[in-house]
Amino acid sequence: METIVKAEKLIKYYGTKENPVKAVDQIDLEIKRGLFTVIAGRSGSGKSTLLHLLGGLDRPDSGNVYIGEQNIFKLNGNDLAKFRRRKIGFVFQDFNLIPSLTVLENIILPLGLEGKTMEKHAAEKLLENIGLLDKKDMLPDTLSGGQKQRCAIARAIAAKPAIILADEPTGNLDSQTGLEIVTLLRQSVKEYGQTLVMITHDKSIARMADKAIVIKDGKVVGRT
Amino acid sequence: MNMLYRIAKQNRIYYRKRNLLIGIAIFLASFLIFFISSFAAVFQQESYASINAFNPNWQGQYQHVPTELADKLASHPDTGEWGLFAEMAFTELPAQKYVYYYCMSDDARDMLRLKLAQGHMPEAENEIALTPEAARQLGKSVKVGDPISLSYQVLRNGKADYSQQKEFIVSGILEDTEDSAGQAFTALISNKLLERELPSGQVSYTFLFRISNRDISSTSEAENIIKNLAAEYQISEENIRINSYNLAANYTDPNMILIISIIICTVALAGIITIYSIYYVRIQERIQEFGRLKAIGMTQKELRRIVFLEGIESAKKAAPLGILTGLAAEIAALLILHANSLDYFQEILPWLSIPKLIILHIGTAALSLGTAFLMMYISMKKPMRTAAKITETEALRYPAYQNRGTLRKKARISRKRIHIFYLVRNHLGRYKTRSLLTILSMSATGILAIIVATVLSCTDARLYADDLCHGQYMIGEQIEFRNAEHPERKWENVIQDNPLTDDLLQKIKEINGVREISVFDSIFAEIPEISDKFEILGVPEENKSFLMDRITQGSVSYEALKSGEQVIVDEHAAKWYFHGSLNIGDTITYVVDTGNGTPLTKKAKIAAFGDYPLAFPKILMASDAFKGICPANCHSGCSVWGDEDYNKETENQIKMIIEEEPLLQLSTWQEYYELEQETTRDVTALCCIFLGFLGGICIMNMINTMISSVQQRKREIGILQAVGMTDRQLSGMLQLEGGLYILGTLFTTIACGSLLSWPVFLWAKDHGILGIRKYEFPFMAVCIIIVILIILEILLAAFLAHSARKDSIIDRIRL
Repeated sequence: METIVKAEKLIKYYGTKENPVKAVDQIDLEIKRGLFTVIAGRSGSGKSTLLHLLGGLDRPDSGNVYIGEQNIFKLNGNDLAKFRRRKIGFVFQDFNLIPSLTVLENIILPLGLEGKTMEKHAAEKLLENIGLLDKKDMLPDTLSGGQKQRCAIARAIAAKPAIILADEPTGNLDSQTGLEIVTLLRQSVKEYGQTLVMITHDKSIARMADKAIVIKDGKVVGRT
Repeated sequence: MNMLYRIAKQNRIYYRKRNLLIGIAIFLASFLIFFISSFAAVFQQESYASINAFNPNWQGQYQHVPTELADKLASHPDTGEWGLFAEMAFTELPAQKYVYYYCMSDDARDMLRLKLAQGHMPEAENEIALTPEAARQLGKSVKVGDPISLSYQVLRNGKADYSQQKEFIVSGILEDTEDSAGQAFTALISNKLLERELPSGQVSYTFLFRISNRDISSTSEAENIIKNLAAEYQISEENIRINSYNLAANYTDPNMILIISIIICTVALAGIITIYSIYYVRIQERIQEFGRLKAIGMTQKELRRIVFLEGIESAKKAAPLGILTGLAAEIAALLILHANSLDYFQEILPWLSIPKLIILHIGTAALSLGTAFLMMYISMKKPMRTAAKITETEALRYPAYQNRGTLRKKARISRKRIHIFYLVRNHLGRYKTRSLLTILSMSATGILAIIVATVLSCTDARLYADDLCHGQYMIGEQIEFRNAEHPERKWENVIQDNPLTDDLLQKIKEINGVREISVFDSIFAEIPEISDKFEILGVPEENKSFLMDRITQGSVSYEALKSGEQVIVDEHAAKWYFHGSLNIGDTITYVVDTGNGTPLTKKAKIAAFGDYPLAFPKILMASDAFKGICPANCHSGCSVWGDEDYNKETENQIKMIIEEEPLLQLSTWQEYYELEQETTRDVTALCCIFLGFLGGICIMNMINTMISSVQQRKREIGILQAVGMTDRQLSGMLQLEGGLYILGTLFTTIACGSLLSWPVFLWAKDHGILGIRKYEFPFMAVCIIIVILIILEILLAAFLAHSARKDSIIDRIRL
């Protein structure tokens, strides 16, 4: 199976030289196209930092990340941003929606930044899929947590990126809603042929994944 | 240390960037207030010292006073020191210069600062004392004891008699204080000569005096005393002279206080808007913080006090620093100003009251400090109230990381396409109050700048020169009615052999470089409302557009003016000469004496008012109207239009043509232009410095707004970048955001500035300020304002984009 994400000797330390916090310590990993991969680990293990490095949201102290054939850290700021909006979709734990934009506007935001828009029927289908068709003109503050996360998922998949990186998307939701969200994510990535990488503490969700990577003290300590 | 004080202090440290902006605004305001008021005070004190040191120190003067009245005036309780002099005769010199012969009492001489350098004052009938410049102008080189033969014309009942020659002995030489460029020079003669030349009934004295010591505080009070005293003895207004320089030097001028007060209020207002805006934003950002403090038991009063203490802490350092910098700037400015005039400074030093200067500086420092703290207090009043009103639950409702602005709606129709402009518009819509405050604060300076620039552009040297010289060169006639030595200057005599002949005018027209000439006619008439002979201008039909295009009120056709039954009156003359008592439809009666022995009494109705150049007479008719009154050649002036503003060769050629005609005088547009240019340059420099500082205060507001805008949205910007906004798009978004502030500021500035500058222009025009006559929109100033704002916006947005990118995206999202 084709490798879509590849990390080589990835290092990211925080803190001071005397007392470094090794968030990501010499990590090598490969993620295969079309699979649902979970990154698991305890709080402070470095899994979020790893996910951010894989998505190019943060820069490593050393090491490389390849998305397809592209070493993303060889790109300058502008090109990396463009690459990100075309190839990577993000879903965050606390939704990170823009409060002054409506549900639909939040969803089409990455496309708007690309100078594109979404066909009406495509937008309606996407909204229908995530169950927010009747909420498309609402502002995010009026939505429930689950609805906000659905909106965030729709935003991540709207530009049809190759990879969806989800940072504990169920962390702020009850278990029932959380399951619904993960199901929705899986269905969506399957429909659009995308790769899903998700951070989670939830074992029941981790069990739904095709692959799991376990992180401890910034190192990969287990793979399934 | 008090807990509230400690919290306020720590908050001040924590929010140091924002406090720095408030500090800069306070610093600039106190600097500006101190510098302007203390510099004005020092400058005024210096001027006063200079006036007291060099200028005549009489305060009131009554002309044409008989001896008996002089005695009564002298014994009046309002009269302090006093003196008398009589103007006995004059000698006319070339280029309209004169030496006047006065008989003067010692006190009058002291008040007029005429000091004897050598010899003694004239006592014998044939003795004379004169200034060295008077001697030079008379073409004599004299020493005390030298004989001198002088030709002069005695003034009898206000009319100049025929010239007569007399042999004098120079008894004294006065101090050399007269300027060779002046028009009048002084010679003193003895009382005996005065008595011989003029019988006692024909001598009219000028009574000079200073107001007796009383508790007068203002110039207007002093003026009233002088006017009331005159009224008490039926001295007409035209015979009163007030030495306003001396009054201003010794009493407080309410106008000066008014101007300084307006400046201080403007600066304070700009400061208040800026500081209020900064605080308004800051309190919005700190809702959760205040809510938490309230939740742990802090009272409303204590919360108000924390906000107050934070503000006062900023002012405590910035205001004294502003005052000290203002003092340094003032000293530097004075050193620069006096670098080339140390001798002058040394001479006026004894007249400068150092304790008064110290008191003035302490006063202005207290004023600046007081204004700075008052500004802080007024600016903080509402934010203090807002902070106190925050409820405990708001601490939970508002996430610490973001202020959501005004999102009152729950839903709205979604846009199909999202672009940067939409994001910017959406953001500004959320922060309407803050955006408006920023625009208003920035616009306040801009509006003031436009008003000042309008006044300055209306004082355009070109317009001023255009007003005083119609055409590039203007030929006029020297008309005089009360000079027995020069009867040829009487108008009725001039028109018998008018030097402005068609032949001469043709010669001027043929000069190389002369494009066109316009000839005007005049008649001189007596008008009962005006004491002296008044010139009425006749405009020939070929120049009728000059007459008709400047009508501002009423209407009349040129044809209707030909009969002479209707006239146009200059609107300024209507105010100055007729004290605003004239209306359209009123009739003016005038008497014209053309020299044929039968004066004609004519009546004319005022058909319109107009706005005509200062160079022209104030009652205007069609030239044809003169035909029935005066059949002779009534040409009185000729405007010469050249190919360029000034050409020395053309001027010389005109001079050559008119040099044979002593009655003709030439003035050039260029000489008026250069004079006004110099004045305008100085005033412009001062205004620019003031507006620069004022602008600095308001720019603090824009910096604050834009910094706040980025600070508050750090997370939002992080999200936008996470979903793919490029650095270029981020910069573009911030540029656009700043651009919209600038656009709003420019729109408000230009619209309100133009609207407000119009009444200011009308006021300046009506009061004859800086010779303003014509409205000129200050395009150049507007362009400069646009360029400054755009540069400022580009720099600020670039700085903010850089600052927004400093933290990684993930750090911003995690805020």
